[in-house]
Amino acid sequence: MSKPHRLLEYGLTLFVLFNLNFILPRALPGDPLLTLVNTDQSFSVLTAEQLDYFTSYYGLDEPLSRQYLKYWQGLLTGELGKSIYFKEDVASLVLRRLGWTVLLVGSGILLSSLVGVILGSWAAWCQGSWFDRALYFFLVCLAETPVFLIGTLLLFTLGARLHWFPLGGAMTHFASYGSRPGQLLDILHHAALPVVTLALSRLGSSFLLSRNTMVATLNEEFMHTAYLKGLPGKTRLFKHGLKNCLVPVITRTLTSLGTMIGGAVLVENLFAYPGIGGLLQQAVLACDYPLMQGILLVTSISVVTMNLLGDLLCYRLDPRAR
Amino acid sequence: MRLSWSGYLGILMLVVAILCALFGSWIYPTAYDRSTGPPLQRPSQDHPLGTDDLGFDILAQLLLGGRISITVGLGVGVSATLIGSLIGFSAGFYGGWIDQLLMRLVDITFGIPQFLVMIVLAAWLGPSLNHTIGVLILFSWMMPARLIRSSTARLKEEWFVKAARSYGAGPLYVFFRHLLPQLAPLMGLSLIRTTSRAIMAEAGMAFLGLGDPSLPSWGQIMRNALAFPAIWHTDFWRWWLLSPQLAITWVAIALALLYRSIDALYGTEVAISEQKPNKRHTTERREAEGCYLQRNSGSGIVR
Repeated sequence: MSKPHRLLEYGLTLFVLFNLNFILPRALPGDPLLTLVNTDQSFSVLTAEQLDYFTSYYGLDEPLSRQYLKYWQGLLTGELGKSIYFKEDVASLVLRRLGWTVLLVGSGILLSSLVGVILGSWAAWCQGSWFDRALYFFLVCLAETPVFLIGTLLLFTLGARLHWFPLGGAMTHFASYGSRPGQLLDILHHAALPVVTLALSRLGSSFLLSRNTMVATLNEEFMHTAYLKGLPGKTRLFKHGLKNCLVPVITRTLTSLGTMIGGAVLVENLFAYPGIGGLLQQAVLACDYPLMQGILLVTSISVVTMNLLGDLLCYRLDPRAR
Repeated sequence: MRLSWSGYLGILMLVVAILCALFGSWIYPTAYDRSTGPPLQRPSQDHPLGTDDLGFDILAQLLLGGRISITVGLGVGVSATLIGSLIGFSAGFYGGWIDQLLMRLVDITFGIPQFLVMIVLAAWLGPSLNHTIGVLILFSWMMPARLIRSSTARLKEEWFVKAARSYGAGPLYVFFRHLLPQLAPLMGLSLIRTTSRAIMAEAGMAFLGLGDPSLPSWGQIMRNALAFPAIWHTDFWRWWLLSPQLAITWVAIALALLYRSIDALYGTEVAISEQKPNKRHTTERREAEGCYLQRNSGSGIVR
């Protein structure tokens, strides 16, 4: 598939998402306004005048075509509406929380890819041995273990029992840090368990991918040539093998971001971490539709961008994929 | 052609889980939906897994949760596989713009953060098991569609299909008579995959508070347990929080073992086609699939 074709496809994905975001709340049963006004916590009776006021306030009395234009205008200027629960701009709220999720997901992906590649290459190197088989079986099981189980076990053993790590949150409340490094250390201390949970949950697939790629690479002819040239095993594995095995690992890592964010939502809830996932759950419980839409938009844009980046990197790194 | 030992282990684990879900409430007839003892009991003779903060028996909830999970899993798995196969078959069989349209649809659905969209959709629709199932089906049909499409597109060019077509066989006849035997393993694999994904996603959604609060699905039990303020500082998590999680893991691992051993049996690296096909993988996959088909069509060609 050619490059412009791919670009077009990603553009189309985003376009479909943006449109769904506009259509769904209007197409689904229920008046958007009534769901906006009557949240679970408060049920209010509106007079006809108040209803009119709110209808025009949210622009729902205008024809659909105009609402649609306004929606796109808002998107392009970064205006995502106001959160009902937090009484704040959705865009700034989401962007503020996004940082924490990026920290979790980013370090989780890095850690799992690093360990996965090392273990995967090692297992492929001694393919068929008991070590390979045991590792394979163990990691297949680990890949299927839900994130909440990994998280719970870590939380209760390392957090609640041994008190090595805090039970939740991203920073110590009301703490005054004497120095910048102190604050950083505190943040890392809080992020450690969620990051390890995310990394462990992805380790299985990362390992399987790099092991399979490595096994295929080791059977290629240039590897036999390298062997016949008398190169030592270490050079062959790391210089010839790993280089070829890294391309799918990198692209797969970038394209697995969507799944990772899904896992992050669960992990953030378990660890009471103030990222996007926690925010999404609050939005869901409070029926805060503008906020939900905003979160969905921001995450989809980032996921699609990462997928695109993965594809472009694949083109750049591996001439065979062109 | 025999399943590996891990495959048999997977089947055994699965059978145990299904038996527990089916006959659990018959063997262990304690009610799950009302208080049957004092609240917050440790595991005892009467309540093997203790009771929760309302005095509801946890084991009884767990057994019913199993029934819910397996219903959701199989419901979503079967419908998603059927819908996906239909879409994949149409795309592969007719080709042209239909193929282009359907496959772009697959790519687009794969491209969005599915779990988040599921959460938002379920929130809009309101908490109910049927909504959960519907939303899950909406995001599970793509993998079978992609698998079946690539196999159909290839098989369509085989001589026996061309011969049947020239005698005037319609698409349905070709599908059931000629393609189904070859596509069945792929459909079985997608069924296992989509089922396990659905069970996991349902638990995750119930855990986030999107399930029906009156039904003790496994995710809901976890949610209730974590909502109990002292869960962090007591021993209750060992039976209250851990048991539903271990149950999910049990089912997921059983399905994964079965999946991997069937996959190995037919030599199809199905896992590869879950991601975007890039050129190198596609050729490798073709070879693997071709090899498996030759072995199975009885033509005697052994590579």
